[in-house]
Amino acid sequence: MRQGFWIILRTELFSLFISPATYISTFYFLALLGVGFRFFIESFPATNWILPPLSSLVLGLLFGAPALVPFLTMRTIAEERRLGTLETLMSAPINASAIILGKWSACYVFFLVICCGAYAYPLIILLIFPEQALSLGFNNIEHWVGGFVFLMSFGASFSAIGIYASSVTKNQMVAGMLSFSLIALYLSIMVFSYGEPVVNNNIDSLRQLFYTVGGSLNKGLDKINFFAVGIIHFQTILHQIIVVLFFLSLGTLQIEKIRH
Amino acid sequence: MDFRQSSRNKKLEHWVLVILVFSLCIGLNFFVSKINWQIDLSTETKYSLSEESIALLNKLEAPIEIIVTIKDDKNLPKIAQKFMHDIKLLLGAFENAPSSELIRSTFLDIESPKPLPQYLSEYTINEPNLIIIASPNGGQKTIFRYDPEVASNPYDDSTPFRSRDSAARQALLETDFYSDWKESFNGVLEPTKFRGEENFIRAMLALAGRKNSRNTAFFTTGHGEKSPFDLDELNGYSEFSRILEDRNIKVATIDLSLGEKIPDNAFMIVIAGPKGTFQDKEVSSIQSFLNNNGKLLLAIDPVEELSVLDRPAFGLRPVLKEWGLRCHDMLVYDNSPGNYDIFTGAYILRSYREGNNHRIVSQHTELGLSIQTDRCRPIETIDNDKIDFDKSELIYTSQNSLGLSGWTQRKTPPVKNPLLDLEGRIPIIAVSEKRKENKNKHFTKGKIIALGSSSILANKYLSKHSGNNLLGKNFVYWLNESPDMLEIPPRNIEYFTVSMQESDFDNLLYSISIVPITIAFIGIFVGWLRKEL
Repeated sequence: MRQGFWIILRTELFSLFISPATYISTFYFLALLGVGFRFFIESFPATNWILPPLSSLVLGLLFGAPALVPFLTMRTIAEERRLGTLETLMSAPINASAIILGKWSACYVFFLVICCGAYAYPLIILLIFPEQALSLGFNNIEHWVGGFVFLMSFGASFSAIGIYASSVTKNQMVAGMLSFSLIALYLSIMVFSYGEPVVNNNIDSLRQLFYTVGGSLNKGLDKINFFAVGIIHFQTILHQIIVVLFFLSLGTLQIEKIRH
Repeated sequence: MDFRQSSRNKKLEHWVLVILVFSLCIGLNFFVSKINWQIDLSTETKYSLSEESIALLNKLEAPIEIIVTIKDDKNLPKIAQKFMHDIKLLLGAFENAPSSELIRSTFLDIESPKPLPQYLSEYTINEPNLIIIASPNGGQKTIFRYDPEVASNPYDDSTPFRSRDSAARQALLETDFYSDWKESFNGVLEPTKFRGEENFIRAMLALAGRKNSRNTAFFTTGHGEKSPFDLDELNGYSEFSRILEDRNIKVATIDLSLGEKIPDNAFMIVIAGPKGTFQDKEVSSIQSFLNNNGKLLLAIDPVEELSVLDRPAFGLRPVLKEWGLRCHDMLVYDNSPGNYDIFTGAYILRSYREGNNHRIVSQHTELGLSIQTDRCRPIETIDNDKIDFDKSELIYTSQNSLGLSGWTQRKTPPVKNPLLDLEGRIPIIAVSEKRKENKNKHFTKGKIIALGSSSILANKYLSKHSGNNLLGKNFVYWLNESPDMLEIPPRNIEYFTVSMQESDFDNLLYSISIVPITIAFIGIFVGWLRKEL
């Protein structure tokens, strides 16, 4: 399985890096994010923003993900199904989970590369305007690490959702739209729950049980308050790992279904 | 089995697996919800609890509930949002702290029709905008009430307009959660230190800590003493009173001249700058209190006039003598301008004992902190025949100073009288405590602190000079038998701002466009490679 995983990962990464679609989407995404970041920095002193300014970039990437992730994931399995190469791939000594994991890992790595590209913006400010960067707190390494870990955990779950969406249809566009809708729905739930009072984990009622088992599905965005200042909150990371496991398992089952 | 049946079975198997995966994830989510680990990557782990706090949390004897009924929404003024952010980080740290008892925080929307969680049903929580600490046996305590004055109508000339932000700022300014307010770049006051940790710990210990029946500091009255409730910026003792209250010591006054008995709940007696003489009955009352393991803090100023009727040290000399201390009716004179603060004119005490210093001033010697005072008088230790007292002088005047006897009749500059005057390095603060006879760590013993000036602990210096402030706190810790002089450090607050010109922002935009342009060029190159290869 391990060998199969590496082969799939390498192939998928190669196909992502030679695909004009990914470059176009990355270009537009980073260009828009860059312009947004510049205007955010300009208006920052007049805003009600209480988190470190670097977290604006993290949130920009997070809320831009529904537009970006589908471009990375929509063709991974849907295209193989449409061309009929998935059946050929499955005739090789490789199991469905290795296929899904390999494809997901490739998309995830590419997502992280784009995040690194976005992180170049504060780095540029640090190099060109060192004094301003200091007053914006860009010298605090914990803000960088905390924000990146937050992006890594949510990027992983968004990519997994995209992979699952791609596994349920042969049509790339449908896969893209489904992935956009699911990620946007996930973000909307978190946005609507942002700042809502948290009742502790004691299960007094069915409602609290529902909230508890929901985990970060509704409160994940609140944890940006912790990650932005350099506090790594393990519960959030573990919840996202569970989301990844859930959608990758569904994707694997979907492929197994096709195999049979 | 026919193909249709087989297909149905496959579908069923698929859906069973989907349900199993879903159930597994729900179960895992449930268990993960119980995990509350976090790692603080910040420098000096400033978002985690200090060692002092953890040590105090381990003294809790009952679980603690922290209930926040302030609704955190984006309509709150920025300063209030910042406060809520700080509170959330702090509560996260409390929940993760290794404490002897459970600490749980709950954010409640009190206006919601939803009932209170069952674990909070025994408490009365019906008001919004509060932070409440509760414990099963200790009851509940509101430690913060966010009640900013409603902003007035900007079109109404009869009342001065105040923005919501300004009102919120004042509401927070009046609490102990923030300190060291400074003017920011845009001219508004911003706090630079967050003292939430200290405030929460104090309240938790009051509710769930070890209960002490002797928990009140009585300030004597009736002799012209300074009042613990006097907010006067110069002579008031409200700042020292606050230090006591911060350490869960109640503050009250007592007039011993009226024959009032020192109550059983008295932890200490404070005599702050008396102007009149204590009568024998009062002195004996203080002596018996001290012998009953009471504590005394005596801050005594140089006398302006000494008549033959007055007794030395306002009649308190026998008390001091019994405990191995002597308070001279002298005035410290120092002609070195370097020993005076050039702005306030305060006299600076900065000489400590060489070698082993008393633990009250050990931090002062480490940090090089001085003590500021107005006119002062010598307080020294004496060798008496009583060996069951540990006496120590804490701080001295400079080498050039003189202790002038009968100073009201002396000329200026005074000529040293070798027989009656004291020479330089004159002790100004001295302490004495009874030697411990009992190894039991909870056993308390009598202690005296005598200061040669009441101004050392007055608002004038206590609130503005860090050396005096630390000294005041350490006095309370020492009297309270706090083993490590525990001091919870406040957290420094970071502020972010930017001050760039329009041209700088244009340059920034050009600079950051390098990233997408590079991506575009790589994409074009890859496209070209695909065509060529």
